[in-house]
Amino acid sequence: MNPSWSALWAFAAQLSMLSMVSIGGANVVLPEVHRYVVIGQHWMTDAQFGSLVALAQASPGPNVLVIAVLGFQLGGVAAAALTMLAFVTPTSILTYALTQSGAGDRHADWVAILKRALAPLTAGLVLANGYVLTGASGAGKFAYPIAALAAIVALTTRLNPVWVILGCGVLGAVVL
Amino acid sequence: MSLPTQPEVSLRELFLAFLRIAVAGIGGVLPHAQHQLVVRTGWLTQREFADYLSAGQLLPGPNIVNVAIMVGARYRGLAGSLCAVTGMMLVPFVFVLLLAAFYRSFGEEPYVREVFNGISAGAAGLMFATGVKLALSQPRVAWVLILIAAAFVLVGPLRLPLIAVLAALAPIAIAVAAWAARRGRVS
Repeated sequence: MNPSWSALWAFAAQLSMLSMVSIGGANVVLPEVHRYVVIGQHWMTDAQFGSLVALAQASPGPNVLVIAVLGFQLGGVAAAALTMLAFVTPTSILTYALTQSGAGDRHADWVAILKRALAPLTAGLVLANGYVLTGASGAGKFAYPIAALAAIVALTTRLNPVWVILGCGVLGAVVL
Repeated sequence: MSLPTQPEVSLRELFLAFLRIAVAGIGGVLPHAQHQLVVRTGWLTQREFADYLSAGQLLPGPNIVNVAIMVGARYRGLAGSLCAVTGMMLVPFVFVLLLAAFYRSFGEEPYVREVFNGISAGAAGLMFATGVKLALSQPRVAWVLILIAAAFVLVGPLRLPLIAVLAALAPIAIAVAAWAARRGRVS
């Protein structure tokens, strides 16, 4: 079901807000985006959401493109551009303004404290994202075993992640 | 933050450098960014790159986009930032939308659907592995471990809203980090 443009603008506003708390990158807001597009609005199924996230992860370029992919699914190229700009613009303005002000140089000890404070939260949020995405992957009872296998391979070998993802695709075709 | 020894960098060079980073960046952009900005162009020293990267990670928003903005701004101000970000996003944006268009046309076909479901479970597992690596890189002190666990449990299994969780945890984290820094127990 394709949402109306007014619904897409409301979604874009939500993305702009979420971008300001995306410490550690776009991935940490995905549980919240899932809540909005799958649970709240029923714009796509769990399996569609999980597949689109994986597709963005497997393709070259910054992770943030996942926002464009989800936008595309909802309303084509124009919606992809809207969601992407909504997500990237607020934080870009903030980064630019802070760079120009040189605030980081003047408050170096507070910057160090902020880093110390936010790094554990980022780690916890990335773990939470992996957990939520596993549940939303559409792989049913095989979701957790496949995800666990991929995680173990990623942690114990130096295999390119793209191969791990493709291997899981083959596994999916066999067992699902 | 202008330096006397800063090289001349044109908007076109900024655009192309970040375009190269993006095109090479299958499975992660950061190693290519380091190669391009430190080794190939010599625009940044290793130390400066590390500083930009950690600032990019600290600020909200996509890390590598923040780095592009800072590098672009350093050489060419606002226009430099725009060229760097556009260079990095353009090709991957088109590529990923082609993949998305494929998915929209064929994603519900038998077999394709199962492959995608397997892929999405695998991608979720990789995300979890990234979280494990981030967690292992943290200092092994009680308050850090408690914050990692709290952020995971509240947003993951309990599915509480992210903004509410951060509104509660970030002030606590900052207060404890400031306290630990004052007591010299940073790591």
